[in-house]
Amino acid sequence: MKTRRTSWWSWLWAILGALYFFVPMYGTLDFSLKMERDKIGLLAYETVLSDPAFVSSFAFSLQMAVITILVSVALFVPTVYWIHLRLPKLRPVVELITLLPFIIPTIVLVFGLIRTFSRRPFLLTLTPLGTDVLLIAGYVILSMPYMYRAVDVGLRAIDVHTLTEAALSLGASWPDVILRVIVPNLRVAILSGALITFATVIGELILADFLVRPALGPYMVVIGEARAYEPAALGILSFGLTWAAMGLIQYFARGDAGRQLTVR
Amino acid sequence: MPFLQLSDITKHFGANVAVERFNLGVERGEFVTFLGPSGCGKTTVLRMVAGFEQPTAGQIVLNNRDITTLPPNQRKIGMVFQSYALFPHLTAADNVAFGLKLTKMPTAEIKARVAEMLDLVLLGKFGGRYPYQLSGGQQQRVALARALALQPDLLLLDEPLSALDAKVRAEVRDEIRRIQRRLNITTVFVTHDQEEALSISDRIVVMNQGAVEQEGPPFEIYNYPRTAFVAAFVGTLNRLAGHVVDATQGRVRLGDVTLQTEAPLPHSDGAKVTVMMRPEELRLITVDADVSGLNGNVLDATVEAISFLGAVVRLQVRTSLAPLTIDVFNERQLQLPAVGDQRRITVPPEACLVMTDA
Repeated sequence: MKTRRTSWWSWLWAILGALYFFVPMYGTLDFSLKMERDKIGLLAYETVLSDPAFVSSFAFSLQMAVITILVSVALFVPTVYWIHLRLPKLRPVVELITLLPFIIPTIVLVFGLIRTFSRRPFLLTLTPLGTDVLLIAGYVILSMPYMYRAVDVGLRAIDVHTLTEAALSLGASWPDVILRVIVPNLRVAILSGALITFATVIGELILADFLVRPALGPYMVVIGEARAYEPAALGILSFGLTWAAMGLIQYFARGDAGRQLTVR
Repeated sequence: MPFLQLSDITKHFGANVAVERFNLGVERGEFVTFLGPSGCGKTTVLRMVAGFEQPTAGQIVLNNRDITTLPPNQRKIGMVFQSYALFPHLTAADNVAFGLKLTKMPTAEIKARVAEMLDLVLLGKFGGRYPYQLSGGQQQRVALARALALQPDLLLLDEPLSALDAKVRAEVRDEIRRIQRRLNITTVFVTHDQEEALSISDRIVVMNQGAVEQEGPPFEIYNYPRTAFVAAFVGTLNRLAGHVVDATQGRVRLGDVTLQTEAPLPHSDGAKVTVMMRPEELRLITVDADVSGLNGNVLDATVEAISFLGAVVRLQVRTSLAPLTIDVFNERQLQLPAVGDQRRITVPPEACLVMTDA
């Protein structure tokens, strides 16, 4: 009897939660499909996707996201691995540092970057390339909580010490240990971190806007000020992209969980 | 010079002394076991040999090569870990091939060596399976094949059987010994399990508090322990406190009983000693049995408990001195007493190990 009541409440809260998320989304979707009077169609989507400014800003953000992911992986995998292996006492301090992007507003971060790197000796904001470097650095900081945690959780799931020692006893060098043993066993964790980083970078506004770079975030704001239906279509596209990323994480995590957790 | 020579190896972790002036020589092809309780330093010594810990002082020489400061990946030492440590993302065959690929060995040779190693551990048909598709025993055999594939100078086994259940443990233990003998590979095995150590080793090094208590063949360690610690740690033991009454005649007084031991004692008369006896060396007889010619080494006893352990029946008896444990080998015709029965215990003089009280 108790189980049945619990089940009923669970369903109620699940339905309420789903409504909270899906009703506004349905409204946005519905609105985005009604660009033409008295007709349901994909005109808003066609307009957005055929806009050269959208294509170029999306391509730019895509490029930035890929570079950010590569830099984050190269930075965090060896760092977190070394903390697990040799500096476990440092873990609480590092975890606190990785939470700073949640505490310090992005606007503070971007002004800090501009003030520091607009004067000698770190003059970077004069050229697009230099500014892109700053933008990527900022994205790496913004995505740090996600990437750090993803790698950290992945490393907790494997016996880092013993696997490292086993590899070393078989003649592996340190790069061999990281590339041939640790990274393959962190595949899902790295992918999770990468996809969340991707979603963060694609939708980011403040860094790109204040550094005056042609990213998707500022484009969405500009189009939102001038148009009605296209921003709604962009919102749906953005959600779709994020969900696709989440779906990929789930898909890959499911296969790997079976491999790691099944013990006969 | 022995094939592996550990000279005055010392290891401090901060203020803690884990290993103190440890000396050992291991001959080529020998199977040596470090036996001792948790925290005695046996694994620390093994890890220093492997290169995972750096000795605070001392020298390690393997095959006439000083490896004391050499990184683990340059020592030519294979290691098998308690937790198997197979790479989860690789199949059994790829695990075995891991070290070979790092040596840039031609692919055909790697394939042949992997097949040979998997056949050696009787897993020739399991090469395509991932670790999660193998049982614990199979995983440990793959780990052994992986360690042996590189044909190391030395094989280190860090409690490799601890995670296995009893039956599989015995199987894998016998298999390790068979393979070690076949390849004649010098092996150092670490365990806290005395039965494992006694059954598998050419020589046992009993360790306590970072130092060697005694080393020798299993037979010697079990039957002729030189310290009270070794006597107590290896095998089950009855201990009775007393004092020497006639050292030249080897006589010890325990309460109201005087025991005749095997030989003159190296103690002075009146010295406080502990007499130790293996349960399987004591004999249980009926109260009316003839005890003449037993040098008075007879104790009256009451049976308090009987445990059937398969090959052995273990009896707990109460005597005027202390409770004692007696092991009787099981056989179908065995006439066991009942709990509460009165019996006598005979103590052969050669069963008495006399140790000075610490």
